[in-house]
Amino acid sequence: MTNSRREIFSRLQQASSKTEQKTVTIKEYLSAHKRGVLPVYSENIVKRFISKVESVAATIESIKNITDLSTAIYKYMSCYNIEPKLVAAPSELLKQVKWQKEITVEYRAADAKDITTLTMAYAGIAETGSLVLCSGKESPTTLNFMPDNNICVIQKNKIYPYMEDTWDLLRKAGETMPRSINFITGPSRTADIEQTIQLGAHGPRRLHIIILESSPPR
Amino acid sequence: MKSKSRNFKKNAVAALANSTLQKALQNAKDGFINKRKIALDALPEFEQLRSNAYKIKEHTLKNIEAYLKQFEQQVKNSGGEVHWASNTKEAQNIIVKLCQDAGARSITKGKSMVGEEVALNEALEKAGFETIETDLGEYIIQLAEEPPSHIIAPAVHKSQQQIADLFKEHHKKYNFKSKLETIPEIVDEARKVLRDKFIQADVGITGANFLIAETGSTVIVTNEGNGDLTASLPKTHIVISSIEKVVPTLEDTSVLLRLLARSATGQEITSYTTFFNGPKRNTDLDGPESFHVVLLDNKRSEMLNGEFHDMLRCIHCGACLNHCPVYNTIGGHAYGWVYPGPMGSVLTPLMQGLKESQHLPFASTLCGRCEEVCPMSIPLPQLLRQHRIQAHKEKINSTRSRLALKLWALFALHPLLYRLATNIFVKLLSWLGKTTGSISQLPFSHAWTRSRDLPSPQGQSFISAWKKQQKNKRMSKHD
Ligand code: SF4
Repeated sequence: MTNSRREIFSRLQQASSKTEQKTVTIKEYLSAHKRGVLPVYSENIVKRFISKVESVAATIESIKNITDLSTAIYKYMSCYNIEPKLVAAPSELLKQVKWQKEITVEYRAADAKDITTLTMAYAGIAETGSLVLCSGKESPTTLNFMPDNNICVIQKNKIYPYMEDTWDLLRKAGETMPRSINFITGPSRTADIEQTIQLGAHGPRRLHIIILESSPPR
Repeated sequence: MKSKSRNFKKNAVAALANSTLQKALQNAKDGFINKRKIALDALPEFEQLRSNAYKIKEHTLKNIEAYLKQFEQQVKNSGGEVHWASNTKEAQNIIVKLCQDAGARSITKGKSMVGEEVALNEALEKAGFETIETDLGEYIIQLAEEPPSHIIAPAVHKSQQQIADLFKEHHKKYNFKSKLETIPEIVDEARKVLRDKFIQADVGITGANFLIAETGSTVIVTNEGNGDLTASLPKTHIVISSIEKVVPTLEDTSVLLRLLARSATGQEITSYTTFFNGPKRNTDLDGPESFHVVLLDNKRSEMLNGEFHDMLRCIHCGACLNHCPVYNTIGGHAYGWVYPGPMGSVLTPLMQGLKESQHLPFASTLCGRCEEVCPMSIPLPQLLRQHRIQAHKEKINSTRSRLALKLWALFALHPLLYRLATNIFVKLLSWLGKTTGSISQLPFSHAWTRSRDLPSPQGQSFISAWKKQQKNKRMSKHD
């Protein structure tokens, strides 16, 4: 269908002019990464993150060290009567966790039968209470969407004020874009039946976030 | 979908008589309007964001050719491919071919209005693929074999009972037999039925709310998570979108996202906002092996330099529908094609021909609410007026309304004649309503007086009253 491509571009060209000059301006525009209007807020970013997360029907708690993770998760699972079986993202940090014997853990992508998954956020956004997850060998995307319950760990120092901070982080890392970048704000929901909000449409019914206060050794 | 806009008047009358629909519309209207209001009251920067968004889109449209080329290049760089479709038929053919090449049998779909525009489901089913909509609203109307009635809430016209009945009828074959009494039960059953479909699908098709030139990303904004399962589980991910959705940078997209969710559902951000960049990488543990973006033109390039340029800024939030008194009274189906409400009454004549949809530009009171709430500052009433002018020029509108306009023009050019006529008319109306103070039947306006009375004029016309007052003033000065 290269013909269509040619046709579309010739129509677009007819509608505009001075293309050459524009190529320069768009290069400048693209590399300026100019931020637009940012809604102002005065709260501390961690506080704001927590209150926003709670406002979208997710739950949140903090732990001091990564060594506290197993206990925290076991407590959470017992509280909601969830079978203590986890499918976890094969991230450096999560792989180091020493799990208590009651919990069975597998490190892999999700499949249809998995009830609970554990993931590691790339960043958190205080403006909206969103988690940012980037696909990669340590972070399979299906873990975010397949299970009934998703537990996600976020390091406290990775909570940033705005979505735009994610773009700077990704650029600084200098790598190419991951296949999928997910901004996750609360559990899955639908209002397609009589405008009534119902959680757990196709994605997780529950989202539990654990803030890790200490930054783990690299 | 074949346009039924020609039957607008008949459709609208039927909608008014449908009590289930009327209840659903009232419910939806209140919900949408209140939620948006709460969200905007909490955002003092709304006007700033709005003018920011306007500038971003105008800059993009001015340079759209270059940004689309940049987008295409970046999709290639991340391992995907862009396909161009001048019209809906081409888009259908490209996607059918991609599915055949992928050896597909079953296809899952995320919600896409461009998909509706090109009647993709019909084409895929005709080509023999099992095609399943996975957005709950889209799934419901697919079972009901109906088009969407709202651009962001496709099944907004359906009641809980109607949906339970549909599920009962269509889920028998999956061994679901219990009667669904509550909304959670309905949602749960859909989750179970569709879960298998996600896993079996060979191809996943999603739409895109934005296309980012800087990175070649396609963005979807959802609440259910169905779009992400559609994109991540099958071997092939196809994105169908249209050329005006391109935006230069990630930063620009963030601005538009702030406006989109608030204007649409009153959320600050939806549960899931996802940026897709090509197929799975070598070291990834999941994701599709191939990634295609199909970009539709379908008259958009022709709008770029013309009177309807402003419409290309639309981000499909649906706020103009939710605030339109006409949409809220007749619902989306009466408009007869995929885009209803004010934005649809502008787009449908451009895409389906003015003759085919001649009633739509007139299906508006031009009250201006749509323009007021539009986050992209699109002058919808003005655009509707342009269609009306065109309809008059092309002699598409009825002889009667053309005659009325001619008469009006005559008066407008001859103020004296106009005054004389209004004086006579005012007297006549006062006489008609002299006993009750209102007129229950007016010649040439039966439709108007059928459901209401016209109050008879109180005294003279404005001009004569004003003149008399001026005269009195002058006289009292001289006293
Ligand atoms: S015209 Fe404006 S209000 Fe209507 S859908 Fe488009 S962006 Fe939203």
